[in-house]
Amino acid sequence: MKPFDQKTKLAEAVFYDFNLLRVISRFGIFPGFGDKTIGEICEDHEIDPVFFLIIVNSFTNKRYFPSHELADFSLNQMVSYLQKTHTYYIDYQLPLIGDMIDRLCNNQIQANKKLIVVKQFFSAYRKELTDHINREEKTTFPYVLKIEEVFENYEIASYTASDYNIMTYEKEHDNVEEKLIDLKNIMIKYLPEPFDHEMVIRILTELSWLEKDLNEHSRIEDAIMIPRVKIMETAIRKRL
Amino acid sequence: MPQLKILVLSQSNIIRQGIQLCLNDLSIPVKAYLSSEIETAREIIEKMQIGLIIVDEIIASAKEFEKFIINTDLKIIYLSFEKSSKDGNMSINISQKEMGDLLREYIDNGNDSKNQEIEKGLSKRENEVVRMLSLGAGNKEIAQKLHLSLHTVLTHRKNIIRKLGIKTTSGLTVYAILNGIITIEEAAI
Repeated sequence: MKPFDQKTKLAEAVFYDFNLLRVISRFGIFPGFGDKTIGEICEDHEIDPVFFLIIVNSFTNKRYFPSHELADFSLNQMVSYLQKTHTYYIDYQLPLIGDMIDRLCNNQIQANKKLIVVKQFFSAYRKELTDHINREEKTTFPYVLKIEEVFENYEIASYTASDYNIMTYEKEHDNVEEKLIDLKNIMIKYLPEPFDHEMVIRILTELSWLEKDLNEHSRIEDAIMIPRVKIMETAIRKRL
Repeated sequence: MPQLKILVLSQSNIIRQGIQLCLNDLSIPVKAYLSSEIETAREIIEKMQIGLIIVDEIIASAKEFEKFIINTDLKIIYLSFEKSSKDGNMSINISQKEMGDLLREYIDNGNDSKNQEIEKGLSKRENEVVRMLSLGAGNKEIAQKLHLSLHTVLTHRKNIIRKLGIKTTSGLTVYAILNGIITIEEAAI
């Protein structure tokens, strides 16, 4: 597939992958954008189109890798986007799934005591993901922003080589999806009757969306953010 | 018979080279890759699509190795330094003929046993392992209580993950409760 560019109508991209609506909402773009192109919409919303296209293209095409644009966007924008996705998980998607699982467990007509363990398992996962997000917010993102600042302003004095570096992060970037995949698996294959079937399907739909979104989120971090930080780290070390 | 790619994992150069020589002398289409530590092994496995690992018991008992193999579908032969060995392990004194038989067995099993296992679900032993894992037991404790070698416990764990598709221990606990292998009350202990 040819990557989307600034002349692509945004609606076309959304028709190609409906879930893109959830992604562009993080840029403050919501349905009702008419026949405007991506370039026009970015101008209206004061968004850097290069960065916007990296996100849209990497979301719709797993193999997309922004080679030549890589040097053209600021990490500041990247961090701000990643923070918005974090907020989306914590304030919206996790509570939504949590409420649905609560309703599944509290269903009086199809009462099933055992389902409480699904709820406990989800809570454990929710805590794990939240902790992971908090670590990124507290340590990784400030570090990334600082590196960019040092790199651009030649403020070498404020950089010490012994600082946390992005390799540490790469190593710690543990697999937060394992529990999520297990939960999906258990709900698809091993849930004992009785339970509200329709609710389970809806929960699975939201879990699958969360999984795809998280995968995409870490892919952006691993394949786009980290390489760029590494380049800057190397450049800074040469100046020392 | 398609070519079987084997990774030989041992810290000893003599063992690595020795096994490679033995493998080359077999009338089986195999290709051996050698590695002395787990990190490199991981890379080779990914790049070369390795089908079988032969690992010596020293590396096999490292925590890192346990973690690593639990998450793979790979078949494993453990090289034991004992004079004789059981459980499909390979003794350091294995003869050329025995080695050929052992590998042929692995190749044959690889081709047709998978489907059978899926139909059968968990074996009785695997169910016992699931039960103990859900109650919080570690590999060593399970080995002791069920009178199994550590390697056998690991093989069970690998098979459980493959069959159920559940990787985390807490996920297994949920499975065990939902399917009546343990009760909610037991899990709380």
